[in-house]
Amino acid sequence: MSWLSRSFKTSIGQKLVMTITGLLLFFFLFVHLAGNFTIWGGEAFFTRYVSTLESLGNFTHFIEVGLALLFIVHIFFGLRLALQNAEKRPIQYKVYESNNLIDFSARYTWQTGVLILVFLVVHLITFWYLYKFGGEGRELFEIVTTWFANPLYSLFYIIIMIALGIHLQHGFQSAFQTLGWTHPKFTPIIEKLGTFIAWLFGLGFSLIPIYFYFSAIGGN
Amino acid sequence: MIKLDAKIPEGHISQKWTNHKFNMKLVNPSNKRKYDVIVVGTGLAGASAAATLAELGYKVKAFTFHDSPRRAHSIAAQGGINASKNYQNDGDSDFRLFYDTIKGGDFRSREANTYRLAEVSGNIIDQAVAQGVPFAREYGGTLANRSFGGAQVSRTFYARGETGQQLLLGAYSSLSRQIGLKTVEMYTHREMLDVVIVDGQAKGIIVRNLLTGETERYSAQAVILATGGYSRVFYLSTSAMNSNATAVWRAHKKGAAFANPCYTQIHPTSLPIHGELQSKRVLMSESLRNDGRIWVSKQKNDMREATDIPELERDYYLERKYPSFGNLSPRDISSRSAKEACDEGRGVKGNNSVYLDFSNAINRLGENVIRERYGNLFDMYQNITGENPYKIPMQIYPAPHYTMGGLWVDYNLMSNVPGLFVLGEANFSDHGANRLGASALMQGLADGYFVIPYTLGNYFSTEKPAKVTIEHPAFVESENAVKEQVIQLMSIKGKQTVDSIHKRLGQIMWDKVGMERNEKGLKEAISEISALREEFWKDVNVVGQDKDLNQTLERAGRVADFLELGELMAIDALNRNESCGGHFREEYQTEEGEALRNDEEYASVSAWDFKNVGQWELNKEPLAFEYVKLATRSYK
Amino acid sequence: MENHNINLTLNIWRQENPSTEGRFDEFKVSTSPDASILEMLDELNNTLEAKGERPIAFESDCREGICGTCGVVVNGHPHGPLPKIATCQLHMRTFKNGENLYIEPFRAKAYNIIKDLIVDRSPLDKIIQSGGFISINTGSAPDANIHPISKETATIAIEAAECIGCGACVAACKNASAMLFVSAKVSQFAVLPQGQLERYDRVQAMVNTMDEMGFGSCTNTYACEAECPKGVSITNIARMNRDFLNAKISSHALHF
Repeated sequence: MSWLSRSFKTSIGQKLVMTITGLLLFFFLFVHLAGNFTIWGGEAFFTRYVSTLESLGNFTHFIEVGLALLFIVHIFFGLRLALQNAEKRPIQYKVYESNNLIDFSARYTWQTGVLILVFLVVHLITFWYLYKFGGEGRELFEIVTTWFANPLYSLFYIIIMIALGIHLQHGFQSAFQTLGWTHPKFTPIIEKLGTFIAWLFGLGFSLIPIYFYFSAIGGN
Repeated sequence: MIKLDAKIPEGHISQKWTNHKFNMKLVNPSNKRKYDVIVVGTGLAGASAAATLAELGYKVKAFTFHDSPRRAHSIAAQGGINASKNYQNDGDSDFRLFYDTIKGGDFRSREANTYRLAEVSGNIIDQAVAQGVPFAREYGGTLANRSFGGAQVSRTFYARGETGQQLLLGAYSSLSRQIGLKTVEMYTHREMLDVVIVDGQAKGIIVRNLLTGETERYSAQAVILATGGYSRVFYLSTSAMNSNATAVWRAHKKGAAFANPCYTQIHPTSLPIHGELQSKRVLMSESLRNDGRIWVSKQKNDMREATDIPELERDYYLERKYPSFGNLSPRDISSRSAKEACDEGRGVKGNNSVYLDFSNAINRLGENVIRERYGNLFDMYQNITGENPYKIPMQIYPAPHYTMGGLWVDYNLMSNVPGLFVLGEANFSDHGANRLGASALMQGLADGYFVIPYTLGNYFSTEKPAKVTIEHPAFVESENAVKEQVIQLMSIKGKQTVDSIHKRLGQIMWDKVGMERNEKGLKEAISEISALREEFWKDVNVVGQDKDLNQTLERAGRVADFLELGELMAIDALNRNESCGGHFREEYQTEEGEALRNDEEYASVSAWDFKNVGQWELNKEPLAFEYVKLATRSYK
Repeated sequence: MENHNINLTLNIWRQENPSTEGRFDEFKVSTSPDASILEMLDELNNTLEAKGERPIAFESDCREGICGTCGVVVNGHPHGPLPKIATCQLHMRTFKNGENLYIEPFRAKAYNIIKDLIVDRSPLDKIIQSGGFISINTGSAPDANIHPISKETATIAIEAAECIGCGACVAACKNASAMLFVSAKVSQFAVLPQGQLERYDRVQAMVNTMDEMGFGSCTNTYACEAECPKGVSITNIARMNRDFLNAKISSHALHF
């Protein structure tokens, strides 16, 4: 099996790991976003959604472990690639303009990734941990509304969601490139789709804090 | 006198190579690895030879002064490569390609060599395609051809305007494969500065490592030079900045005869000189002449803009002088006519350039059609000159391009020094006094892929050349001489830069040994060059260190050799009292101003034997024309 | 072609040898707008030589944009600020009178600086030596027309094969990745029928060598394509990625 470990050490092998985990995480985010949208159905609807998830029992745990693994692998390989790449130009240019020719999202992929990592930790602590281990009887809906009433927290959340959009703007079409799924007819569509997804995720996830923050200050 | 035995095989011309291949002795496959070969130069000829010899099993050491074998100037060839495949069903054959090449060369090449060139031309295309060279294709997927000057059939294979690049990269990939297999030892950044001769046989070379400045010795049982042409003797030429004659010249000084040094090709469609700083001439594909019309003003020193000169005051001189070939007249004729017009003061604004005008074609076909046909060339023109050729006529002026002369070789491509082989543009053999378009690539690859692999084996098995170590006194002596010259160059510490002397040499060559030559000018050139050479050795300033990467020193060594070669070119031109192909003597022309050959006295190769600096002895190899009748070229 | 010289301040990287530290030297020049940047440097070198000073070491050869020998970074762009040209095709009329130019070598871990603006690009050759060829010995080729090749395929092949091996893609990439260079050669052979037999071995061998040589990995930023003097397309990189993955899945070769 040494061919396998060797393959995962190659530059393209590592990129393929990033791509596959990235695409799977994208599907997770998609489901997550859909789940989030149940909140627009009101507290009862949202709580029913949460308890349905709970009722799945071990299946949810299985998914959670899988997700954790995906995140860990994606983050580990991403950081390792970033570190490896950082040392490939030991003496920097005095003037370096080539990087300014490229797409904004492509320029800051690992940086937006790190922001998302920071968020992930905060997000897990403030929602998931608090809900699961934060004491008795707190509904997730309540946790959500409490946090988003905090302007700093909401702002932080929104900034990260913009970063997520940027990360996906590059990541989505980049995945197709790394898998070699390019074609003169379809690649332009994929690029547009990537931009749409970036907006969808950035806005979609941001709507919740915006709504609940303004609800909070509006007194409803 | 040296013995010039061309060793042309017996038999009918179409059977000579076949017979010879059978009669030559072979080296047993397991014995091949006992033979070392040095290949200097990694252009089409060198790379193809090194790769092929390594495939056969010989131990090859390849040398280039570049950082990579892929940089050789073969890469810049644009138009294409001829081959007598007759894929177009238009009547091509080996004999026709042979015939066109002999005629195009103005009957100054060796029939047997030229026929062999035509004979193997088809194999080159097969080989290149098998290597993955992406030649242009027809819609049905078969190979496309186009026509080129001097031929009435379509036999030129091409890959956009980058045929040389693609063929070189093909040969380079084969060479790279052998380097990877460790059958070729590749030495980059090495400039050959001497051939080592032991008991009359070439046994190795002395090189300077251009990164460290150290001299190094390498031995082998045969040395192959594939080091290209010498048109940089003109300073401004279409050759690359580093193209030089040093390898062949040092071999020449060790006894290899130099043949027909005066045969130089001046290419008509080069961009004009923009000013003092110009470092080289850039070629525009000859294909532009299909739709462009060449003209100058009828008045001298006409300072009007091109668009302000009315039709009636324009002189379309090629159409006027050569009505049947017009703007597509052969290279030598077109070049000379441009020079004539400029010498009369009728060049663009009194300068040295003529118009190549597409306005007629644009009016007739529309700008889009012209853009489709020549878009990349027009872009290139605009990039270099800053002018829009769709609006303002292009300006062109002839430039030194290819050198048909080179080291003398026999049918086996061996010089008169046993064990010293010369391939490609570096030898003299196949193009006579003028090379046809798309034939340079053909010759380089024919020599490397299909000739030397046979003839080298024959040399090894008949001569059984002994191995000599690099400790041999001949190596020590050669290396010391090379080191001494380097030290001498470094120690002059004069006032003039290497480039400034090179430019002056170029001016003399261009003015007096260029497109048109005459006795008076050539005599002046000979004395001016020898005076300039003296000045160089007294007053040149080579800065920096010798044991270091020192580009000034590299150039100085090359210019020192050009200063000797230039003189020989003038002597050869003076000696050849006729006009033929690229060699045009004003004294020898017809009433209409066409080249006037003298077959009685000059149907021969002039091979010069080096005696001392500025002193040569002439040897002649008579040329027999048994299969193509001697005739006057006419393009009227 | 008017002759109104322009005045420029040049900041040029000077470095004696691979082991010493480099620095920027400043030069004031007045030069013709019709000259190429290399001709401008030729002139500067002649001025330096005339004063007995060491000229600036830089590489060039064909000076018509095809040999790939030249290559410096001018104001932050490999081969200068204009698209689709090599350094030798960059003319001084591109710059404004009084402009400040920074001229640096191609920088990458895989490229050692030899002297001043000259870098060692031999790792690119090593990649080709590991698989950038079709293994066909001279003399054994079948007739050239045996494989019909569609115009579409021939176009993909030549547009990849146009790579001049200058290494600017590495110099442009923020990761100093050589993926565009490698993929151009992989693609050329991947689309042609002649290249099929070694297709999977080739891509794996070349990628392995590329990694060994110290180039970075591709993060799909496409700066390489934007700076490539021949406009070699990043679809070649996609094709190489696809072939690499296919090779890993289907090739029987265990040693990769």
